[in-house]
Amino acid sequence: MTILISGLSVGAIYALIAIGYNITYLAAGVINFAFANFVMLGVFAWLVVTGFSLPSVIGLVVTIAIFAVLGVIEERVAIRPLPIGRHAELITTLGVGTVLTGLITVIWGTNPLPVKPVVDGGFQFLGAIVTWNDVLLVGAASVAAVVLYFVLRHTRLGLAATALNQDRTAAILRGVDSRRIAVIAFAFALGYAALIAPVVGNQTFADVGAPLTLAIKGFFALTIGGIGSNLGALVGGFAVGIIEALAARYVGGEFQDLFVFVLFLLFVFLRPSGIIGQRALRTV
Amino acid sequence: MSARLGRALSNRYLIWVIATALVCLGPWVGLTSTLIRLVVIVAMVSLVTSGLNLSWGYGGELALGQAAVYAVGAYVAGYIAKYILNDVIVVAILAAVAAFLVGLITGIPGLRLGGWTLAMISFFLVVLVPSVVNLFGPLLGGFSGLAGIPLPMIFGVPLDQNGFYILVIVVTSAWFLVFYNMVKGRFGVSLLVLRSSPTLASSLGVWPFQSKLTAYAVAAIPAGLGGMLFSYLDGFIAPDSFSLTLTILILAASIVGGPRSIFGVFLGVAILEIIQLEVGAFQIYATVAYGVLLVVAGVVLSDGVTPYLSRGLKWLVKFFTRNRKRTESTEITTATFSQTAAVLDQVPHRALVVTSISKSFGGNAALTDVSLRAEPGQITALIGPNGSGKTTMLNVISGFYKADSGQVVLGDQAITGLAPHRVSRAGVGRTFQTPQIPEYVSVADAILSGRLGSSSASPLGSAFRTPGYRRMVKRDNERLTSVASALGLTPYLANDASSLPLGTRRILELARVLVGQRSALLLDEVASGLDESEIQELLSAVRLMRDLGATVLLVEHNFELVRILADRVVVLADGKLLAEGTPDEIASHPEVLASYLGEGAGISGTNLGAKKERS
Repeated sequence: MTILISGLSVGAIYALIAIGYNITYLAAGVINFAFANFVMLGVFAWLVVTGFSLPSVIGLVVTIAIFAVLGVIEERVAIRPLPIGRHAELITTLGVGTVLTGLITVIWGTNPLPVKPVVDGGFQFLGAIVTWNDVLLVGAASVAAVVLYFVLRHTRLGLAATALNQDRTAAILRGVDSRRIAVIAFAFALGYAALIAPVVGNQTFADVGAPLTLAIKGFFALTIGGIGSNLGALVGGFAVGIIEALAARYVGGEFQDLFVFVLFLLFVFLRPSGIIGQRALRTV
Repeated sequence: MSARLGRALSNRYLIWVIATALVCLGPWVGLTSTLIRLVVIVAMVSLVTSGLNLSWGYGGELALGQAAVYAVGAYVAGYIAKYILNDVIVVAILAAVAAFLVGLITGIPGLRLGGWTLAMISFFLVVLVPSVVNLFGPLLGGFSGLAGIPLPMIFGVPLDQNGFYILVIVVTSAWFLVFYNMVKGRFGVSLLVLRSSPTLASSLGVWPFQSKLTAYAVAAIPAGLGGMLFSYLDGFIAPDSFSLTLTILILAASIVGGPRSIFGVFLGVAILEIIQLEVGAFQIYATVAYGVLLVVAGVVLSDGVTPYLSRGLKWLVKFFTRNRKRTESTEITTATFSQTAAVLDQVPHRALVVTSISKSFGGNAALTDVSLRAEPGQITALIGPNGSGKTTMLNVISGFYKADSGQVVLGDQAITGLAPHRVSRAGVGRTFQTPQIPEYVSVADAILSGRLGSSSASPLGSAFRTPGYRRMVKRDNERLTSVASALGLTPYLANDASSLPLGTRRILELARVLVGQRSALLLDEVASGLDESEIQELLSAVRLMRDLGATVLLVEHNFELVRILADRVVVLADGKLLAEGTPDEIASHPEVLASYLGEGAGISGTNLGAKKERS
């Protein structure tokens, strides 16, 4: 049970990251490699905010607003000038992530700092200790997936994004403003990064080294679930988290990454479109 | 005397040897040990970066695992040199083989999805380095590193510091010669074609997956060699030498030098290494600087700084040689089509037989039970209104669509359902409605790409310029010269193919198909957008194809052109066969007139009608 709980809790973080990728992927066709770095920046921002005497909620709202602006800037600087369909955003968003890594190192150094939980304590459940933060993580991931699922299907903005994702040219010809949607998606995605940061930070610590593996495993979760599918991201995240917890328990902690990697390779090999995705195999 | 000197200077192998020897002299002409160390490190990182250029700049797939492959090379070399056999040649070969295998194994799943998946999988390899090293326990020294790697020996003779320096320069120079030959040869062209358009590449007989995997696995070799040298550098290696920072540095170096540059690699690496040395005290800001560099270069410099430098160099050369140029004869010979016919071979005569093909897209029937037959040495026109299934038919024949039922046979070989590259290799060539012209390739190479499937484009042939490869190139160049001059493309041969205007692009596609010498040629609306003189070239080219014995299937809307050119006409309407016959029969076929050509077709004419007499 302990394994399951820790797997779900870590897996929820991967799911949250994967959903963050999905927001910009669905609306703008690009995956933001810097997303995990932004979440980490949000964690450090949360540390700063909780250091003030004013209510943390106000601080969080301000952080979210600032992050939304950062999203607009990132889209303008690192995404918009790029040619479409060349995966050039791989380079530029990696660059943005590297800048963030550098800035965090300069400001806060490389030693991981603890982050206080939003809700203290926990409870016993079938012999395992469950913290409220674990519950919050799993809850946040589930809510994010469900909310996004409905936003995409039932709001004008979501439908426009879906249309762009399915057939860009057709959608643009129909009057969908692709640039506006891309900017909104980046602002929204980074605001979301700031929002989930406090809950994530309690698990990962404020650690400049953490985003790299989070970014990659979040991507594994996304691929396993099927790129573009938010419910898939949730399932994929939990799957990666639980496999990792099982590997740590039965194979040894130092091998868990290797184990996840090999399983992921096998999965990609056998089912490249993911559990839920319908993406056609590239005709490489 | 100066002529001989000029000839000698144009031999790149000689230049290579001289340049390498000059760099090798470094320690004896007063380079300080700090500088020597810088040169050695730049050489090692350049080896790794050249691999990235091969797989990304040429192969078009971004892999971020070079640092991990570098580690593989270093650990394999370090372990073997320390415990088993310290001979540089053996160690280098084993390090290269190990690197190649890692590339192969991680490339297979990654390349299947490409793009982000490959980038992430290869990136994760870097993260895994410490835990994999630790997996081997004390054998590789774990997290604290493998110490005590001896100085390199060659045939039992130990190399001192200067000897090691020469070793580094020679290995680097040798790899860059191989790299140069590969990317400037057929292999490089096949990768650039593939990078621009997998569709085009497979229609030319290139199997995309195999080519990309080859590029990716071969690209691991220099990283392995670089790692091998690195393990000897200090006799000590540890997992944290192969970190994320190294990955970012390699990527930034490639971007700064130019992803498709060869010598720009040294420039890019040198710039970044010097930045790192200079900001030494502010090391902490180096990461920020690299990040900014990635964003800026990713947005602004798609080809790095090298093109600007080489443009400057070319201008200088032009400036100094402008007086001499004038005396050179500028006589352009124009081959006629009959001369070209003599250079090109007759192709095997094979009929293309399509039997009751049906194809529907999600319930929309595009082709219903269509059969047709195209004879060798004849031009068969496929006409019909828009949406009647002409292009669908071409795509079914060339393997881009799988037919729901029916058969396609070329000569005595069934080609139904084969992948496009196999259909191409079986002897089917084609052009596209929108001409497919690769980027970063000269007109000459774009034409020659028509022979990629029939002539070997293996990296080994290109890298080592084997006798077979040279013979092939010589023979192909004869064809190229002749075809290009017959089609009036000679003045453009050195130009960038993607800079050509539409009409010339179509002519280039024809030249590519002609050079390819396939048995069956599918021409998709080759006349649209051509001017009068280009139409004449087109007519001659298509007739030449016919005279060489090819089975020509021509999709065309211009019925006048069809009347002049075609021996047989097949008419499609709504995905069904409407009529079949000689051009004159079709011109007076009541149903065709009603549904497609209109009443005036028999007599209407563009000015092509005046040349109605058949050649």
